[in-house]
Amino acid sequence: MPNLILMVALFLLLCIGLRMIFEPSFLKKIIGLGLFGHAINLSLLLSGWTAPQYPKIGRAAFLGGLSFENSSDPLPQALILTAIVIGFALTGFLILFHLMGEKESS
Amino acid sequence: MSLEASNLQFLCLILLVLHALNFTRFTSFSFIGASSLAFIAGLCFQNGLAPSHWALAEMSWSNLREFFFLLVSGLGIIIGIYSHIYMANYEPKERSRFFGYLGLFQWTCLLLVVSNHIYLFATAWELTSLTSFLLIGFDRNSPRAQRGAIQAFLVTGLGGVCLLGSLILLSQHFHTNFIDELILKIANQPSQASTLATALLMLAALTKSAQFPFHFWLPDAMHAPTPVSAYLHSATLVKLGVFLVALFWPGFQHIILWHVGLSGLGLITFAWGAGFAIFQTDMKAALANTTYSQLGLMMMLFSLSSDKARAAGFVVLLAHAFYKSSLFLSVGIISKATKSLDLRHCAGALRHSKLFLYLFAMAIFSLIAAPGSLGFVGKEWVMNILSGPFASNFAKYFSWICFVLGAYATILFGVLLFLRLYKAPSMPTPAKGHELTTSLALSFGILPILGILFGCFLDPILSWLHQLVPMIESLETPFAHLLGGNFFLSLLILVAGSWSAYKLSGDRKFLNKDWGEKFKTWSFSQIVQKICLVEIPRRLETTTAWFESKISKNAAQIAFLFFILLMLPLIDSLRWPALFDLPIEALAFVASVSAAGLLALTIYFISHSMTQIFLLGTVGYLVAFAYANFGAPDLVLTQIIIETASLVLLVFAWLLSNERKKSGAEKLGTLSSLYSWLFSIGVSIFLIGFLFLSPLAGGFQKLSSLYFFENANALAFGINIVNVIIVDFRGLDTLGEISVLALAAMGAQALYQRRFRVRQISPHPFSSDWTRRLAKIFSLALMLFGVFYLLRGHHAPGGGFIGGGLGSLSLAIWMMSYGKPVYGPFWALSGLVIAYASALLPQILGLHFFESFLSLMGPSSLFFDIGVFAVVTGSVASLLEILYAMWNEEQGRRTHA
Repeated sequence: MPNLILMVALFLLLCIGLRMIFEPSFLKKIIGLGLFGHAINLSLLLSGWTAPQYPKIGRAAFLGGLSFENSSDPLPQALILTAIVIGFALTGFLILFHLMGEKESS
Repeated sequence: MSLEASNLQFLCLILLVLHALNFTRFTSFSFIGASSLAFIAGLCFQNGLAPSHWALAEMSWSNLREFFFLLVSGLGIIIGIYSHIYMANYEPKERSRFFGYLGLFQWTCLLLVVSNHIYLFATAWELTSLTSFLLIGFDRNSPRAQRGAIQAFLVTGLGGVCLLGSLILLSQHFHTNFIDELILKIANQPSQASTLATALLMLAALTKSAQFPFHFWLPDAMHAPTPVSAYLHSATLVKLGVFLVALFWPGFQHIILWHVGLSGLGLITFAWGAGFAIFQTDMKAALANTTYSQLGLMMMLFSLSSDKARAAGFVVLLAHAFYKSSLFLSVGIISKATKSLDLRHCAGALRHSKLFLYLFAMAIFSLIAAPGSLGFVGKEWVMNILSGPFASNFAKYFSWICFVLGAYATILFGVLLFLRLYKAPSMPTPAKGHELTTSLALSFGILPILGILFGCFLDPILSWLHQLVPMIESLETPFAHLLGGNFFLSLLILVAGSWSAYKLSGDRKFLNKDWGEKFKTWSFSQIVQKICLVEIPRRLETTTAWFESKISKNAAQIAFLFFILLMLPLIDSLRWPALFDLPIEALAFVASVSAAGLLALTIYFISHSMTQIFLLGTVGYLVAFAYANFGAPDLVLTQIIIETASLVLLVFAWLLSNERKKSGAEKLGTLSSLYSWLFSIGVSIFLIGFLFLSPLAGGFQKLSSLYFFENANALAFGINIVNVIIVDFRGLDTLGEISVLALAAMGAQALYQRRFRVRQISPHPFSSDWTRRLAKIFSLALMLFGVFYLLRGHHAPGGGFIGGGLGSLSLAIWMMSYGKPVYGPFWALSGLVIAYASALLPQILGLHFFESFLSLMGPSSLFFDIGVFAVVTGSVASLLEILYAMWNEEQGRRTHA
């Protein structure tokens, strides 16, 4: 059952994010992009542990007392970490681009 | 004294600093100084330029690197002195720009010659193209120079991309990132090198050296100032292609595509260039034609698998370096004296100064390879090689025909050039330019003299060749077969060429005709310029406009169609996931994600933008909570900090946007809305399907390998594996990412005010004395907190990205309460410098590129993390700053109105 809920929730995030990108209003597009980004980051995180028991949660990936089997996967985390920051820069740049365009056209 | 390669990086740094001085008032002196320093240092490298730990120091091609190092720096000295006199009447600003570019070129060229890591090599290769582009387009008022520059950059730049592709393919296949190891491994198993990689490598060499299908860019590059033509486009830059071929020779010499392709194209170029040089009326373009013709000869010699050919190649290369740059520099003198580059207006230019006449005659002597010059030695050896066995009769006839044609045309061109320039002028020229002629001629006088001296006394050349090509058993002097058939053939060519030149020099009709115009419509360069600079941009524009007009209204429908196509293969693998009981963290994870999903649904149905923005923030924090439950503390910190920053960003965007003022926002049409719903739902199902279905089929495994767990502490000296991956194992990726980040911030600054810092900014209207005091404490605390997170990143949650996020928030608070600019690009740039320096630092200490080591202050990747910290701080803060400044501006406008 929890899997089903997780699926539906991720589905909602993805779907609403995508749908809002289609809105004509610029701010809604940006909000949609944010939602979509969250959904993708979460999916990436989930892909870190491809066990039959899904999702299996590990402990933080630090050495010392932890083995490879019972810690969560560090690689997707590293990817997401940079993706969050790059996503922010992208959003900022997009907003600025739009605002400069508005300024010029008015 | 002998220097080691570990000193090499220091040398490069010193040279960079010296060359940076070129942009100041020191111009020519710092350039000459840097060249001399490099030359002397190059002489001191006893071992060739291979460091001891490169393990292959004794192999011949490390001497090759040294030879090119000396060539580039030694010619740099002469060109520096010449340009000092030549550029004397330019404005100081122009002079410093010229020497600055020239210095940058020299530096990148030396970097290319000494670099061993494939990425460094490819970067330096591309940088030489870039600096060449800057120098060709030096004259900003001449559209022809600009066109030539773009064309040269397109051709050589694409060649650089080919080089990168080839090196990546090879390094993937042979599992090494170092060029010398790569060559050794290819030499051991030549059949393993893929055809694609070989062809791409050949393309890189052919484009850089302007060989046959790509020869057209070189004559057009001649709009650069003359010293540039003499330095880049005859002696150094265009020889890099030959350098590449010579460098990879041990690996590729037995590959048929390599030596048949390169030698065939080289021979065609040899005949083609020399033939067309005769018809050119522009002196520099004519010399450019002979340049790529000679490069074709070298390309042929270096691609063959015999040691003799290689030795001959080195001799031709050296002779060419001596005479071709002096010919170019002479043309510079002539154009100074007669104010023209057209051969038809320069008759008698050689009579201005006796010294100049002799030097020019010596250079021509070398060009036509008359006995007693270094060129003669090279040519005799080439003929010796051509007399050897051939794979087929066709190859034999083809080679001989191309060679004889090329040699004949070269002699014809050289003698004709001399005769036309020596002929008595139709009207006498004023004598005041003659002193300048003499002093300019003195500055490069050593080059043609050396060409003749080495041609007469062969001993130093032979011992030098033994160093470069150690495997060779014996080299016979070209005088050994004085009475052989080859010698008579070369004499015959010489006499025939000179005789036809003498005949042609009397033919007025031939001399006065504008051959350039005749060939213009069908020349390669015209066609390429037309396609690349006119046709493609126009086509692209019309296509985009058409696409936009058709697509913009129906985007949702079209995206839906694409999606249906994508969906088809997945449909039959659709299965339902199983249900399980879960521990508490998992439940919390599921709960927070589902709360986020429900909030997303709410966001869609709320129409007020500000509410939507805050709800998006809530979603972000919920996602952070989900991360916390998944066991990803680094992500929690990053997510919270960045979510805060983007909330601020979005609020400012909302305040500034016009949409706020409009009542009744526009909406999507019913049909488009329907299709976009269908598309979104479909894509989401598709993605979720991938995520949830694949693990059911597969076994129990993680994405990342055990490798990170086993080696994090041993290789990278850290226990927070996430951070270790970011700054160490995948450090190169992070380097790219922070570069993008810094570019985004600087691009935003450029977009906003076309300068590197925000000009006007004032404190937030709500700020008062006590908020400022509070802000001081808070921003200081935040910054300290950020540094704390940065420093502990290797062993606990934290690192450069998280610390940088906190740092940027601290800067933003400071900016808003005091109204001071944050100098984001400065932070970002210095961060980039730190990051790149720390990537190069291990090389100075004799380790591999990006290898980490344990320094006194902790693991070396800490320095890299500091760079990341500065970049993130600067770029995030500068994005916030720009939006704040825009809001400030509008606020000011409203109070005025």
